[in-house]
Amino acid sequence: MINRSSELAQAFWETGRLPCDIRDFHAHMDEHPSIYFPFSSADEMVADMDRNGVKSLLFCGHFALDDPLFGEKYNIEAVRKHPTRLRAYHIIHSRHLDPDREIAEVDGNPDIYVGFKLLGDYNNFPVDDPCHDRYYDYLQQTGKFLLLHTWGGSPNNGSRQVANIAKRFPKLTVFCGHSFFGRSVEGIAETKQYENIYYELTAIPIVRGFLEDIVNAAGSERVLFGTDLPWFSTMHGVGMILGADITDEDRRNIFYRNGERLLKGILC
Amino acid sequence: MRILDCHLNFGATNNGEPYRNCDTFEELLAELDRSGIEGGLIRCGYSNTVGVNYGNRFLAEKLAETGKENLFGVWAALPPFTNETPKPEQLPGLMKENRIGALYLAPQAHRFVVDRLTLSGLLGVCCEAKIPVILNTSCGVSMEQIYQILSWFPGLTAVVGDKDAWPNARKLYPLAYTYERVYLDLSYVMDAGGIEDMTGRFGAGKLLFGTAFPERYTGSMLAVTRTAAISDADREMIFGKNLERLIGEAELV
Repeated sequence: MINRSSELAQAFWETGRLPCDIRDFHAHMDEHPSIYFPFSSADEMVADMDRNGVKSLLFCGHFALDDPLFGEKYNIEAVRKHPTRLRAYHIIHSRHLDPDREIAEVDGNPDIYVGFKLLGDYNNFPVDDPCHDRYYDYLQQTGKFLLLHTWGGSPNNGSRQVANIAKRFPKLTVFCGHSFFGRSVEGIAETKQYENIYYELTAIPIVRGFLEDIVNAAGSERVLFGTDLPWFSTMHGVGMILGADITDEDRRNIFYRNGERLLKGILC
Repeated sequence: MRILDCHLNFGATNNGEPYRNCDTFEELLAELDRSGIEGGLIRCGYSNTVGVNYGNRFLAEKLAETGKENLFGVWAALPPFTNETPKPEQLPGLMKENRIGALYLAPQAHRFVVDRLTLSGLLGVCCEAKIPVILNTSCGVSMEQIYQILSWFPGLTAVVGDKDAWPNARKLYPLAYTYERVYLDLSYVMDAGGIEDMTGRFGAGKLLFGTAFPERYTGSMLAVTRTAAISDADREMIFGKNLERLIGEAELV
């Protein structure tokens, strides 16, 4: 049953599907050296989206994430194959920056890219370093998105670094992937004053209580659904949201309302 | 469809772990009711944090008070050399008397060495009586130690789990393929397509539904299992029938 007090949970349990869409803001694609995935191709991921009622998915594939030279083309191929369901984040590799070319790629392919993604811990490089400012300035001017991998207490992508970016680019739309995992409440307190900052839920299901903290601190209007697909089952996150101590209105905000607002004119 | 959870825990802690704890047995029962989980295997955290006998006794008393037929305890087990707990040969009878469905090993909390020398007496009895033994990295036993234990006792009825934040098929699949009486606790298997993949490879009969409550949300694995693209017969086995069978197979006399 998951949660007797939620109408959404009851409808889900009876039919095996949510009675609403899901908008996923954080995914990957293709193989990874450390992990066996039962599926990971674009076609398989879209089939999984169909099964689970996921209307759209924003991703950055592993090849782009881990190959700073040649990986980006796989993002493009995947979106071209599934233009009504997928959009990509162009990766920023802090140690291989080429802002002229990369901004031109994003700007010239609005049907492919929704913005950039940056993983400070993986690059071992702080995301608030001014070397990224041209990217951030472009995103702020165009209204495109920045997805950051964020983690509580990180010297590369903790809340201090995100707040530093937001101070310089207060209108920039930032998705804080993993919501400063482990220190979400402090992270949200440090960044919430910037109205275009959102908090994303990948990895949050592994600690009971984190979701309620995030919703209480940020308000569900600022929370986005995400999975890291193909790492984690969409339903693992769905089940957390259905079972958590929040309202059905909060659940709807997280599953699709916030996403539809952000994606209007892109995938809505 | 009956839902039984192979991974439940309760007991107050003083170190902030898990993040949102389940202090009392009554709280645990309330969560099970809220989630539609009929029962399962329950550990009492006090066996790790207060005393092995203290926790085991506390759990047995709570189970006796409740008297619910689908709730089974899991006792912490120690190597017998210090005579702190009942002798291994006494365990089957005591387990039956106290509604204990399985044992677990926690070598880190209980500070014993995982070796054939320390474990032979205990696990020899478990093999003979088909007593399920929980080997889970969340209890402080490493995957390397689990591999060793199963190589020493290949006939052991083991419920194996790996608390890894990353998908962990490369660690779990060799055990499921190799040992007939190894069952996988799905509490930490949140991989996309994981249940479908495992069911296709070695069959739903080796998979046990679990939530790792209160460490994790019960809703997560309920939703994953409810929607897995497998047959309803397989789902029924994973949700409860396998665990029911496992507990029933133990020769507790």
